[in-house]
Amino acid sequence: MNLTIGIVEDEKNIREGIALLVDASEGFECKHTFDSAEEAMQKIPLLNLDVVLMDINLPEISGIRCVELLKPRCPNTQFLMFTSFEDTESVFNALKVGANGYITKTTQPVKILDAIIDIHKGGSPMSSHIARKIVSSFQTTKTNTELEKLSTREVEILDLLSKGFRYKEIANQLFLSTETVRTHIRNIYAKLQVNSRTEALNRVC
Amino acid sequence: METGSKQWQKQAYLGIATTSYDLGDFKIAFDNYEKYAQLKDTLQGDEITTAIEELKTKYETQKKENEINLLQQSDLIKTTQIKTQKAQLYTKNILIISSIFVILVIVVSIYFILQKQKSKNELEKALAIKVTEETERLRIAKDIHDDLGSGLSKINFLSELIVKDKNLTNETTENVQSIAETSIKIVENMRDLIWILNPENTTLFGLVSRIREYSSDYLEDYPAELTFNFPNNVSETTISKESYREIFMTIKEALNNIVKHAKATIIEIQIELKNSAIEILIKDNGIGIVSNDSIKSNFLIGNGLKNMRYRIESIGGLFKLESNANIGTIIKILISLEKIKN
Repeated sequence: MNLTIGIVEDEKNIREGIALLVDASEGFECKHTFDSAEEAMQKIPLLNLDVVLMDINLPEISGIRCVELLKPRCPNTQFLMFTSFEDTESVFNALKVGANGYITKTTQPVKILDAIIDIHKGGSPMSSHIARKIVSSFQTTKTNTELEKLSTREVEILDLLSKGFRYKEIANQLFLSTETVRTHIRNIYAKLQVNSRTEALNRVC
Repeated sequence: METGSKQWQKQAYLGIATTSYDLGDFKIAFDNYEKYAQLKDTLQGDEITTAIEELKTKYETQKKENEINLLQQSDLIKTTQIKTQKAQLYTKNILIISSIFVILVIVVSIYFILQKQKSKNELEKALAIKVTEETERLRIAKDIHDDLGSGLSKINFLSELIVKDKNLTNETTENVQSIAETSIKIVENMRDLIWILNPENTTLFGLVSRIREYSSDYLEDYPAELTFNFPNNVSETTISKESYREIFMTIKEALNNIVKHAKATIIEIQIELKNSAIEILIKDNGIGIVSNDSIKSNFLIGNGLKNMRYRIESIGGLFKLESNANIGTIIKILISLEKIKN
């Protein structure tokens, strides 16, 4: 069965370009594109898509806010952020509210497809910048006892990631399988999201 | 003296008169008594005159003394007045001088403050102009990037789409592939140009990590053994965005050359931090740059090398290239940390 892909992107050229490319690729289907977060929020919950490519800099409502509102309503959909720059801050914020990964707009089309497959399989790519951001985020919130803590192994993995090591190298270095490394990274993302929700709740209360 | 002798004369007359009377010579006694009486009257008048004279003298003296006193008093008053005036004048002078001094100090201070403010304003103005220029430059670059970038991305996506068509001749596929590569390369270059807009801090740690990460990703599908020789503890020292970019772009270019031309089977990337300098070595065991490749590719490599050297030298670093045919190429970059610190 084909993977169903949605695209939220306000730049017409990019939106149509990717849609054409993805739709023409074997194993992918891309029939739904949206040029605003508002439209996406209305229609995506009804579509049960596998993966949504989400631009961060949308007019009016940002892609980050859009993921934050859509994720609880579409638990089976994976959100892949699509950015012009590797803007760590924005990507990090998107990851906190439920995005599963990110790619830049200059990523080669083949790699875009790879990233879609990877994220659908449950992989969560993490760059060295993001890894560092996560380490410091867990460090600053360590006083809060309600928050989830990182395990020693997760800290080790984050440390290597932040130094620019790739999954395969980390697996070799720590005598783990690449799959185990992936699982750890998924767990780190999950903790990050739980913590950001707890923090958000604490702010409200 | 005269009065005294007259007194004596008077007493003499009285004596003669008394004696004559006693003797019974009344005529002489009478005459002498008459003389005595006359003289006595004269003498009495003299005494009164003398008393008057004395009184007069006394009066005059008193008057003079009074005048002298008066004069003295008025002198005293005058002196006192002068003294008072002098004191007043002194106070006045001090007041004037200190006022002038205070005013002078205020004026000088105001002058300096104004001067400082002026130079500060001028500096701020110059800075504001610079910032505005920079912002404007970046805004234009960003606009170009966004507009052209999305168009180029579409060209890239569509070319990739065409490449998938199995019915095309090899030549067409190659040409379209070239269109795809060129378009994505332009987008990447534009992105690198305006990457400086990124508000994030750039650190030495970030740079070293990024080099490792990029190299792994970039060489993932390249059939060569890749080794890293990286330092364990890299500091979080902030470095300037320019130096981060120039160093990173140089490494990108170096790896690009290896992948495109070197035909290497071993690639080693080494970073060493020594004596507050960073040294980066990129070694390969490829065919070397002095090969008899086509003129076109030699020209491209030459340009690329020039660019790399220019980038490193523009941030105050040293760029060295050693290349031997069929042995390989070593690119060495050495930069003092002092020069790239932000």
